[in-house]
Amino acid sequence: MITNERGASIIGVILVLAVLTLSGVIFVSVFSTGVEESTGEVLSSRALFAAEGGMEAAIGHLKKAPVATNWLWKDGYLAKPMGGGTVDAEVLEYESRDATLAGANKCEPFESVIVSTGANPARTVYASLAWSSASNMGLELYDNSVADCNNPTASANLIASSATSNMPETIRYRVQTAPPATITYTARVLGVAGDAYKLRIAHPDETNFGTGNTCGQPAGPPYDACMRAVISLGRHMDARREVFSGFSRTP
Amino acid sequence: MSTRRLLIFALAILSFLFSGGMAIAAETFSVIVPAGTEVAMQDPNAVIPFTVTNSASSTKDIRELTFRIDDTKYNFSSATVPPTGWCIKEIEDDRITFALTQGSGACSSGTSASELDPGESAVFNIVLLPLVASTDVAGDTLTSVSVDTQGGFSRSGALPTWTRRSLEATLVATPESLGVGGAITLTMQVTNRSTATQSNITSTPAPPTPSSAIATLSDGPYYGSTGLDGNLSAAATIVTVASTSGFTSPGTIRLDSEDICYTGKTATTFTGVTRGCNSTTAAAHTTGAIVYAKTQYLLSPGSSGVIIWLYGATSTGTVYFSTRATNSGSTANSVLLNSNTVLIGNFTASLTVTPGSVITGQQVTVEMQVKNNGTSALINVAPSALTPCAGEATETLSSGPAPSSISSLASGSTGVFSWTYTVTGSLGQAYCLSGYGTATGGALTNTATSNSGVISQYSATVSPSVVASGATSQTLTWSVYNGGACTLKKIEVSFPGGGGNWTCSSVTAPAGWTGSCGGTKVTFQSSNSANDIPSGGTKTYSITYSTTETVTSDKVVSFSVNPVPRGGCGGSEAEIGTYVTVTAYGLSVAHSPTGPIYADGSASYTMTATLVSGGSPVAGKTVTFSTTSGTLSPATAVTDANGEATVTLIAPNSTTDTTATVTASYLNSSGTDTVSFTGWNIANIQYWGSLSPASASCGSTVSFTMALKNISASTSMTMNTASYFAFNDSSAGGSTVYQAYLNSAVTLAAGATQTLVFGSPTSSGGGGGVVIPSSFLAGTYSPTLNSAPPPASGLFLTDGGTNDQYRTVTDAVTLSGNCGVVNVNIIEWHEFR
Repeated sequence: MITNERGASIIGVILVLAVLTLSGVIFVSVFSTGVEESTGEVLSSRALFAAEGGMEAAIGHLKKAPVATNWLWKDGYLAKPMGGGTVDAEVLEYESRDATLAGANKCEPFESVIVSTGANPARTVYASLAWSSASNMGLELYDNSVADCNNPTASANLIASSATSNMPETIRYRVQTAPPATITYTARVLGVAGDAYKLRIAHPDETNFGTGNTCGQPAGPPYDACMRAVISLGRHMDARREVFSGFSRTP
Repeated sequence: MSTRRLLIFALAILSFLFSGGMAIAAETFSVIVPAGTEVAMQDPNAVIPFTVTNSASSTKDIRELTFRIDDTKYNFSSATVPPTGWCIKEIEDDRITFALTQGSGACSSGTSASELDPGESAVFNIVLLPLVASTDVAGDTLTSVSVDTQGGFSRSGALPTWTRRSLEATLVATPESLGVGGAITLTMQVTNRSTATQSNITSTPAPPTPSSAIATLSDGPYYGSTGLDGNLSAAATIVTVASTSGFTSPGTIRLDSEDICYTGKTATTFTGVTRGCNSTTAAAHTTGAIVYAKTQYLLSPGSSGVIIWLYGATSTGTVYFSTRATNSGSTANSVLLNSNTVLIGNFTASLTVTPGSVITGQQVTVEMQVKNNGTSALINVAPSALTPCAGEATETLSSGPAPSSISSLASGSTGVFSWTYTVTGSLGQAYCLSGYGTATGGALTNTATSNSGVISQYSATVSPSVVASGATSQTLTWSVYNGGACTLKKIEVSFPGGGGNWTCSSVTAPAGWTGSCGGTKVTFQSSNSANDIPSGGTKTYSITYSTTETVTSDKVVSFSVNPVPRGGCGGSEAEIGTYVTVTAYGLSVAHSPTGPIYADGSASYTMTATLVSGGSPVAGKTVTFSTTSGTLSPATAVTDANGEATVTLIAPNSTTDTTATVTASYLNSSGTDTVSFTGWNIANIQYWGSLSPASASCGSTVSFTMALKNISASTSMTMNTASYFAFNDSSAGGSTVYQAYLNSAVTLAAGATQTLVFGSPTSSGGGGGVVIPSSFLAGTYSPTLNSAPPPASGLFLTDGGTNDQYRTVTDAVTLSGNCGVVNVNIIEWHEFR
């Protein structure tokens, strides 16, 4: 009996040790995962800070005196050191094409001049559509002028579309055409007559982009002031974060 | 025969031989050239001045001379102009014979006043084409020079020698006028005329020597230049420029203070770059910045390159530069070069007289260019009376100066005055003039001396004087003036040699004349004496060339014009050299607006020159502008990536309609454009200086005072309180305007000057000052007129409509202090993961 009792104790000790070991392993495992997640968040935040720093630097460059000259700056940044990481930034023209649909669609052409100069020449087209009407709306991007907005593919190719149930609809497209090139794209808004919407388009500068209160080509309404946008990509080790901003200036 | 007789006979023979020998020995002449004479291979205009002297001990005169040369080394050119009274009797590649122009017009050895009597000399400026060799050739000479008549002449002394150079080069300094502290760009254009490739082209001395210590080397040498196309960040790894033509690969370029080494290139980019090499620091650079080549190049036969130096102007005066091009072993050189002269000073003047050759009684045009290199406007700029300088001809003022004055010359601007003079005198007499400019406050320019012209019997000019390389269907028109007593019955125009490809396809002759294409020349012939060019008359002759000449660097070619008088009158023929530059560059000029604009001293045209080479725009080159009327601001501009250089032409003051011809120049190429002005016939109020204050603080309350003058000769003007003075910050990107109205109505009688005060916030007047808005961006602003505000700018002077006018204030206002800043308004912000 005594012998049996001693054997039972050994088994109990072994069980206790096994439970403790398993708990330790689980604890260590859980603890180390938390460290990894925390480290990744820190790097991501630092990448975001780099992106925001690049945005601030680009805006600062655009608005420094004499602004008449510097507002036209479009070189951007490529691997610019920023807070221990780096940042790439593209400088874009930014247009507001707010309107109300008269029919089921409306086409907004815009010109982009693709150049090779500068550290990071603009290649991004970024369009966003928001609306206040109850009905859902959609957005399409075509690679040319659209002669008939009811039949866009007769004169242009569809590059991308966004027709979700959410708002806003956004399309982001990277220009593939080799420089130098001047390309007219068309943003096509879909909805129902009477829908009021806000369409914002950021793209490489037009031919006659300037500091005036109207854009260059094509000239005239409905769009308003020439504005700027910057898209800034921050990197910190393996983390990447991106910031986009459209803005105007006064004076 | 007896011994006595033999002795007498021997003595007689000795006596004869002695006297005869003395006579032969007495007929001698010499031929020399200036020490250091040198010519460039393939230069069709190479001239060697041979001075022929008939020995004082001669007993005969020289009436005919023949020069002979080895035609494997040189060819004599028909462009040779004989000395006065002499003519070319015969010319072949290897020989040229000069004789005397006879009263009948014949060219012969008959006696004439121009013959070379014992002790007399004449200079025979012989044009010859030096043929090519692999390197410089020293000790070139003639094979013989002989006196063909008046027998018994022998040459004393050795034949003269000179050097044939392998490189052809020009040396140009720009700008031609600048202020102390400014920069002079010295450009040497080099073409290899030899048969061998020449390496490591440089200069000797290096750098070129300035004629005065008022210019010092600040940078260079560089071996080419172009313009940066697009801004360049400090980290960019591809450098995009207007053109990489002429740059070595691999090589090094200079941008501002940074050296960039590269391993390759495309037509418009440098690749494989190392930023900040040679211990320099990588930096950002602005589009349009000049990109210099730092790597020496080699020149294959016929190819061209440039070498550029930058000099700083350290003191006032005039300076030019001297050097010669050379290769690495100094075996291939150019002739010694002198650049044009550069004027250094805050207020400078230069004079030119055209044409450079006239017949007596002909009119010439004299132009004085004045330039304000200072920092503030010059008021009431006027030229002095012109005085004749060295030269025996008589210059008589016919008209001018026009304009008599320039009311206001802004900083950096150039103005021009012109006169017409009548030149009289004898053949060969020279004419030139000198003068200076003045301005209010005692400002004086240097005393400028014009180029010298010479009186000739005939004159010939060719238009255009510049043609593009490889031009086809190119028409050249010669205007031939007859200043002789006899009518001219024939005009011969010879084509250039020197490797050109000038093919005549058609001709246009004056009425009553005929002409036809020939292989080497065109002969225009009058059908009868009634159609001749009369004494004092001019006729024009045109030749269209189906092919011309292709060059890689600018080249001057010669067309010899030979007027022939009608016989029996005693007139003489002549050879007149006319010259056309074949340029590797094309330069065109355009203006905006279309015009005409008012000749009111303030309205302006934008003049745009476009520089191309081989059909492509050329960036980063300094184009110099000049005008026959009005003022230019500035007078030079650098071409951008489109090859365009832009300046402003400000209207002259004129009560009658007038025009201005604006010329843009780069090296030897030039382009012109003519603009029109409508006469300003009412009161003409001009800014007359003394703008005060010249600086102010944003947010402060200011009244501006300035002097205004009514330069009208007859019309007064009463300016009411709706008149205003304004400036804005739009040039800095802002949209703020300062606008102050006239304090009270002011009447300016014709010719009167008065100081006016602009300090009223409204057109009601009353003064009190006007606040400079705090939103103004800090900076220096020029109140240039805007005749279609907003934004308001400059002066608007009104009397209710009769004499209303917009005027520019040529001084600037500097704003500082608590000024506005640019604010950015964020419209949209997204973060992406």
